[in-house]
Amino acid sequence: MRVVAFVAGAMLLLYSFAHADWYSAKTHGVFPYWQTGGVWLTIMVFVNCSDETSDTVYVRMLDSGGGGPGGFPLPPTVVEIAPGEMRVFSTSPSVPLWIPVMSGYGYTLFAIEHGSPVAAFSACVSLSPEGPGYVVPAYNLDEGF
Amino acid sequence: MKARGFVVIVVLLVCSAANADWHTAKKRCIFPYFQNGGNCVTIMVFVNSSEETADTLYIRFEEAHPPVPQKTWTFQLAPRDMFVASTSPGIGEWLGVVSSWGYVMWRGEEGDSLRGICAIYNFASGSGFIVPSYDQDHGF
Repeated sequence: MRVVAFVAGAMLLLYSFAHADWYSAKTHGVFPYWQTGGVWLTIMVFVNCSDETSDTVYVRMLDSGGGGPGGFPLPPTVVEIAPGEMRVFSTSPSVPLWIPVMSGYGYTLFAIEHGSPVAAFSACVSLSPEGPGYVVPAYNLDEGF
Repeated sequence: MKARGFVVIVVLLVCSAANADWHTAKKRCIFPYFQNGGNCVTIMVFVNSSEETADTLYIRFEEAHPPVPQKTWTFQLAPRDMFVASTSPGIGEWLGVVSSWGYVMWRGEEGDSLRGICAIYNFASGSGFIVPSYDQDHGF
């Protein structure tokens, strides 16, 4: 009986890990993106401010026309982020990690699996010599402003 | 007996003050930095918003990937004091950093009175970004 209970518990744990995904993530945020496929790109930065625990970051681009195929956001890009680690994404192959996106503008949805204190912001910048741009801190998708 | 008690209290106070450091600080915040050793610099501005109490500011740069903590700078801010630091000599207190980009952890010893903001500025183009601090304990 104990063995059965142990196996059942282990299976439940495995099941919950296997289904840890975008929808089960505890915190969700949003910021805009803008890219021209040339001079302008958006750089997205995430920092795990925890000193102790790792977490998982999901990033989904949603274009201004209502999203990718079927009107949904693009599939999430998933990365692990260690304590104190900074992770960078962009809309351009010149700045890794590149997340290709077709639309010129839209917004980025992201989620933090375990709700760790992750700082997130995006920088819409021009690679022209003048190099103007904007930094946009993330909004909490669950609370708005 | 009273004298001995007084000495003990003084020793305890001195010990607690000596152990006040990066790890005991109550306010913990973060913003990014970028610098290229030339035109691009990050300017950091801190204000003690208290009108009565001084506070201790700790600043630490972290290279981005993997996270590599640098030395910790410590400064005292008097009430209503403004403190300016940068990644370039000639702008406020120069905090020399090697890596081009990463993030800045800063902490306030006593609590909530310190405010911090950074400007990532390009001298060649005269443009840049203003980035407010995030609370390290709450994320975005």
